[in-house]
Amino acid sequence: MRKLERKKAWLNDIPVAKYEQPIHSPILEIQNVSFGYPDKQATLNNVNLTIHRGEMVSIVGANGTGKSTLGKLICGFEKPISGTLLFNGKNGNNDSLKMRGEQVGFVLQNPNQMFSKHIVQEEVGLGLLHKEVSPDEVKLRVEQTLKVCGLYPFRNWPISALSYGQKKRLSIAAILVMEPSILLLDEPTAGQDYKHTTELMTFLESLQTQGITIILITHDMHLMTEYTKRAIVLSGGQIIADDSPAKILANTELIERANLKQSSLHALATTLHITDHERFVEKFIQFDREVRLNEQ
Amino acid sequence: MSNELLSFIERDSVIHRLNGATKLICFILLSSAAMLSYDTRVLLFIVFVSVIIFILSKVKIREIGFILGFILFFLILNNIAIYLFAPQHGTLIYGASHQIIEGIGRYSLTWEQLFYQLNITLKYIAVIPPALLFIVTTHPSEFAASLNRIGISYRLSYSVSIALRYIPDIQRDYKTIAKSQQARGIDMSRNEKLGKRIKNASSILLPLILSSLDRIETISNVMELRGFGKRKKRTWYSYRKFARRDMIAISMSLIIFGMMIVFMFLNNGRFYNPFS
Repeated sequence: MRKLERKKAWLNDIPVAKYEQPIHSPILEIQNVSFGYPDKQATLNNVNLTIHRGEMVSIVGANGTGKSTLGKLICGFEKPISGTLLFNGKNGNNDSLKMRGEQVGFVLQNPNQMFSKHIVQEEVGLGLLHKEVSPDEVKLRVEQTLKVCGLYPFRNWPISALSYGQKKRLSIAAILVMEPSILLLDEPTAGQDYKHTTELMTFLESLQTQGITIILITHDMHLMTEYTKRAIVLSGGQIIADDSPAKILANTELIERANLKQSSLHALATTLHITDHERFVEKFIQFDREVRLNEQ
Repeated sequence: MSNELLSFIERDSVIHRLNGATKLICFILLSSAAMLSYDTRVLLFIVFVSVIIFILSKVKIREIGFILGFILFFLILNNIAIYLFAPQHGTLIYGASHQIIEGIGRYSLTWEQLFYQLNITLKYIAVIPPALLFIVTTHPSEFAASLNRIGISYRLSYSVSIALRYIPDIQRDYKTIAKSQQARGIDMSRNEKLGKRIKNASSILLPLILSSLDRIETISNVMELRGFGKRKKRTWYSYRKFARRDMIAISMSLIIFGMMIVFMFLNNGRFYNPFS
């Protein structure tokens, strides 16, 4: 029992970083958007959502709840049946894919679906070459982006020689070089181990500090809690929650309704008889980050 | 994603209820009859039968519209090419020359040439419905089971069925890849010039091939893990017995094929000659 007390005391000692969400102008407003394929049940029903500049938001939900569809609507792969999407206050419903691509960069789940060149730097420069940017500037921007993504040493490598994690970063680089203001990632860490996940997410956080808005589509609850301050829960084609991840995970009823899986941290809190799950999770993550920072 | 091309369209119709192997046999019989014969009467009859089959299948033209347009485009291309390279082929075949319009050099338009090309067009029209219907009304797994039943090794049957099964998947991949490339500024929409569009579209092929190769590897590993190919025989989940309607369908196709042979003897060759 003393042991448990000690643990609790130790837990209380960890300072929780006071975080205040800076209020920025909305970059994307989704208004009353519905979507469905013909002759089938609607996949999205009257969705309303505002995303602010510089936010990192996760969209979560079980399979088939419409999170990927929402992603496709945001990046213009599909057009809504009704409702509007506003980008910086302007109606984007009639944008061509190319125009939308300049605002929203979509990183597909499978990086192999994105590459059409053999060499790493050619792939990154591909989009720019089609934008009539001068060759010197293309070279400069490609090199900068490759450095940011930690792929500069591999710039002359064939893409097929890269590891999955490196390919993933390359697919992000290929999008990033186009300088979109919103970066949308579909299951960014699927199929990657802890080390690579951490690496990738730290990288995304650094992008966020540079002012890029990041939207993650995921069903990884830990990813959501650890890296995003705001999560949107989809269920049955509707947004059923829009809150901080800790609050969402603390709400058992919500979790059940959305068919989400509680992260193991919550299970741990239950085993330790800690009632305030939210604070426990927050503190755990804080501590975890410090340890990681010290290691680096 | 909606409306995939050339994938199984679920519906309840006589054609859907036919055994997969029956459909294959009928398709082979009908199409070889249409391929071999140049007899307008036989071709018209096969076209007639094809149209009836199509109506029976309850498949809507809208559902196969794109692929139909694609084939029609090739039909026109084929006709133009025939006329360009062999404008007097009809005269050669039918041994007569009834000119309609006099042209430069050998490019005079004759009734014989028109008739010959009409027959070619009829061949296309006769073969298209059975070919398309065979693909869209046969469930891949059921087809594999039937193929195996008529004596083809199950490994082969299975690969055919997997090939059919992945048509929609590859199309979905293609769409996703195309869209992600377009979002990166590689324009494939109508705003771009045709030449550039084709060049841009070809850049999709590499990722498409790569992701398909990935898939092949995954599938073959998964199948091996499940012990595929270990035994000489296997059972089929979606096997359908040969029913009376299958026998009727095959006999009807055989009759049409036989009719084509009979007409071949009557005409002393593959051509029906109304000009002599």
